[in-house]
Amino acid sequence: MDQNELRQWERRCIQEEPPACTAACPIHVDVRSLVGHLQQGRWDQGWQTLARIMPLAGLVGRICDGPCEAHCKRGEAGDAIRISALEQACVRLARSEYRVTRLPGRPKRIAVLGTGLSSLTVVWDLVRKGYGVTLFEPGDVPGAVLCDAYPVLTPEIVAVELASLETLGVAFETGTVVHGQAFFEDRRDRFDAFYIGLDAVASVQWPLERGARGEVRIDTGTLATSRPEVFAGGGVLSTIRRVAQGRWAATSMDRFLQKVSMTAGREREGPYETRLYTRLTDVVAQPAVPMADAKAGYSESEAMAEAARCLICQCLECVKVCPYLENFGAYPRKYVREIYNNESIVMGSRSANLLINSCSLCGLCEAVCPEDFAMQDLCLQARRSMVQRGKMPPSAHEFALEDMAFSLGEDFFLARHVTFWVEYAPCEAGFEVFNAYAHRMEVHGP
Amino acid sequence: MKSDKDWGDELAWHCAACDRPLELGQVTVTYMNNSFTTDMPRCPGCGRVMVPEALALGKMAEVEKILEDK
Repeated sequence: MDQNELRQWERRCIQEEPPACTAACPIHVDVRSLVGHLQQGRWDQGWQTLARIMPLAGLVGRICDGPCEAHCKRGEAGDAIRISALEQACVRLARSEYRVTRLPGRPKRIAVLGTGLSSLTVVWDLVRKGYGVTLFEPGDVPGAVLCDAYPVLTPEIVAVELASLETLGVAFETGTVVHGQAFFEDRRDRFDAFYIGLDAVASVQWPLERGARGEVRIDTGTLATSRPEVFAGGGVLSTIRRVAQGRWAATSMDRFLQKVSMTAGREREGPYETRLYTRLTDVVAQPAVPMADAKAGYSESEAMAEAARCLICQCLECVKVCPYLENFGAYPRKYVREIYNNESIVMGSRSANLLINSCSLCGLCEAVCPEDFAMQDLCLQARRSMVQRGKMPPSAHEFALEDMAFSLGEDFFLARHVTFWVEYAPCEAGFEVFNAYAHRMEVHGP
Repeated sequence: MKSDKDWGDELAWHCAACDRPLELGQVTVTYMNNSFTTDMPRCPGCGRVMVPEALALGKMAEVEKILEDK
């Protein structure tokens, strides 16, 4: 097996594909882990899971519009999990402290315009990467635009989030006229890159190429404008898409400043279709857990009950039906890697020999796998290759047979009578010679 | 396998087939394509080697395990 074949095998097993909710999320929050924590009432761990991906989760987690819910597999058996409501409960119930690590400072400076969701995301992402960031608010109060748009966001909540940005070293400038051309001309020399948050700053008059209706022309993938150092985004309705555009812009700005490819490896940046298969047979339909107080949101017990409906989507179709695959504690994608490593090492321990030799080659896995993963082909191929290269005996009990032939032959006898016995266990695919006699070395004269 | 062992007990053995006392001599030990030589009690006639039980169950088994790479 070469690296290429390894990749093809690995690709065929879909167990590590994200669940539909995560794939549909524009920023790919690990919803399955999050809801898994909430099932157990682990609010703090849930919060950490959320905040690992979501910028300013204490703010965004309260207002996310949850496009993931339309893709939830539970929705095919009753109501979809109310993921946004669970997120809100988590943000409310957890000790929501950010554990932020900031990379060592970089000399580049970035100007971010507006204090809407996309701008705050750009700031959050880039300040943690070590850039010097200044946030320009045309009005007097940073974040006021958020309080106006989302009644659930009180000025106190917004202030706490902005304070955490300030702690990270973000500079705030209020009351600055940012949309005029003068702002750009004045600051071109002092900043290395600019971001215009179109969700907070309207009618920018900067010298940028425009579309038919006068809107700033933006590359949908990188959010770059016609000027290489200027990026813009956030001009969409969905809250989480505004956040996502901020994130994509921040990635582009970082790449622009580091002079690396703007597009490489970004294929799965936005929402995509997952290949994960989730069996729904035998899943009983359930309605969503209602809220006693819709305004307050889910209580602790309500949130746990709602989270408990989550299917924690996984494939594991083959592992569910094969004791052999289950016994080794993982699934084919992991096994392929082990078998590949086992086959390719020159010296050292071949720890996957047992895995390779234990498959009974029945092909049940291939029959049940949505992608026809054939573990038996993989094991047989590995066996053949290793036997051919003298790295594995032709059968698992080859040694025992050779040993027996030697011990019964002319060259060997025991000086003392010993009873020895052999246990044959057909279900264990081979037999073990118990250590009744230990003279296994072949010994001969010079 | 160190050869500083006292082979007194084993050297008291006779080879029944050749009717000769065992002598300490150089012996090649092979296991899993690895060979090394050591001094062990052997019959000077037929070359059969005496492997004492304690050695077979002790040091020898230990070395086998290392060579088996398990």
